[in-house]
Amino acid sequence: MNDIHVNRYLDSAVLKPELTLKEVKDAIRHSIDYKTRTVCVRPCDIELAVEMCKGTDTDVSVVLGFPHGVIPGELKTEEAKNYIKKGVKEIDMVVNYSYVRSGEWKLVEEDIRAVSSVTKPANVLLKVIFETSMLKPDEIAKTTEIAIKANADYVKTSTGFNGGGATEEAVGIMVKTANGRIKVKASGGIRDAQSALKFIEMGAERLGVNSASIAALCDGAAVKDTSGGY
Amino acid sequence: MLKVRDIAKMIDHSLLRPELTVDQVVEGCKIAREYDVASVCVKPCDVALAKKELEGSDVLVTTVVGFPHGAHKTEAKVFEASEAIKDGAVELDMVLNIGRLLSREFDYVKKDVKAVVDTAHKNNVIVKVILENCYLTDELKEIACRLCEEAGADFVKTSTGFGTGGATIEDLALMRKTCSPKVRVKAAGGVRTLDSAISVRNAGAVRFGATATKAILDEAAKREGEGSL
Repeated sequence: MNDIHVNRYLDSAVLKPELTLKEVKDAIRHSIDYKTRTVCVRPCDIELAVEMCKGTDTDVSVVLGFPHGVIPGELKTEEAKNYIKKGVKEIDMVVNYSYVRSGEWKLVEEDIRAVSSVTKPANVLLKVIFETSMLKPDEIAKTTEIAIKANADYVKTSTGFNGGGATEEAVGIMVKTANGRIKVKASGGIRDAQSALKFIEMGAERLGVNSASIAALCDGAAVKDTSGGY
Repeated sequence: MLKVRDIAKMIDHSLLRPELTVDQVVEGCKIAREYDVASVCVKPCDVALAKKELEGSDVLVTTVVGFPHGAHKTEAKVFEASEAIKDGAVELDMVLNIGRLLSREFDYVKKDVKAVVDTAHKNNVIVKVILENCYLTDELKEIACRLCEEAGADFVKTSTGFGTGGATIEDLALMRKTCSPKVRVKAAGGVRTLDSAISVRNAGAVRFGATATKAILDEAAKREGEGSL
């Protein structure tokens, strides 16, 4: 286990709507200090994050259609274009999980393609958030297949803002269905090194964690529970 | 004496939970039509559907902008507003940028609201601005009300229903007192009974968001029948 550099698996989430600019800056700096893979920010903080992460080992990812995923595809396309222009390396979109729950699979595919059609040519990584707490096992498997077909790079469990976060069951279904064809990101409720390692062992290649939990994950230090937003 | 219709026309029937299926949204529109509420408040992806479902009724179509975190870029909010208007929305409930308000970046907050208001008003669409009071001090609630009024908002609204708290009577009174009469007040989050509907009305709200529309209006009809509404 000592060979695993947990920090390089981490997307450090700085997403709560009530965070002030100062809190956002502190969280980004903290993520850079720990060399997390990315810092995942709110759209209104992209410029700040891109500026702060310049020349560091930490890239900028941003959320799209967050946290509900229920905006039309053309809005998702426009947002993606805008964020790519501003310099993000990765986009974490929320799939329209109302459509997933409605069995509207064609609409689900179009929803993901609305973003992948923009991210792929720009070499920007696309992660698709399912909000697995709201889905049945077969819906998780089917959406994973659709995400593969629609050219996404990752399937991701949770926003951290609706229901529970990553579970072994949901990550297991994603990993098994993916079978190496798409990567898996576990997110939501991962606050200690033990659960981080558990998901990594299961096959998750990225973990979404609250920026406040980074120290606990990387140093094994205790951290207070921060509910909401991972 | 209050009438059922007085209460019904205060209601924005809320169909905003992201996990609602298409069938549930259609069902919700039927309830809205049957009870003749003020509007349905639907997810942005459901605006065209709701417009179709409510054709020939007096029920308006409302949707949300920058919902529920308000942390979108202003240009994204404006684009979201214009698309929603194209799809048929006539009322927009936008979330202001909560983090920037808490950072006391008041100019940013006002410009963000004004950009959406300007787009909406060009199309005769009204804007309700959600303050998300659960994250704010009273001082910031007052400042937010003033910023919204200066930006031309038609309504100030207490909450998204997805934060840590909903409408309170104290907040409604504060908002009513702070804004001039041309800005109306909407309560959202936690109005689940007729009694709480009447309380928010008495506190100055002229509109409220509800999912328990049926229960509230059935009770209102019962009391109207008894002469006790």
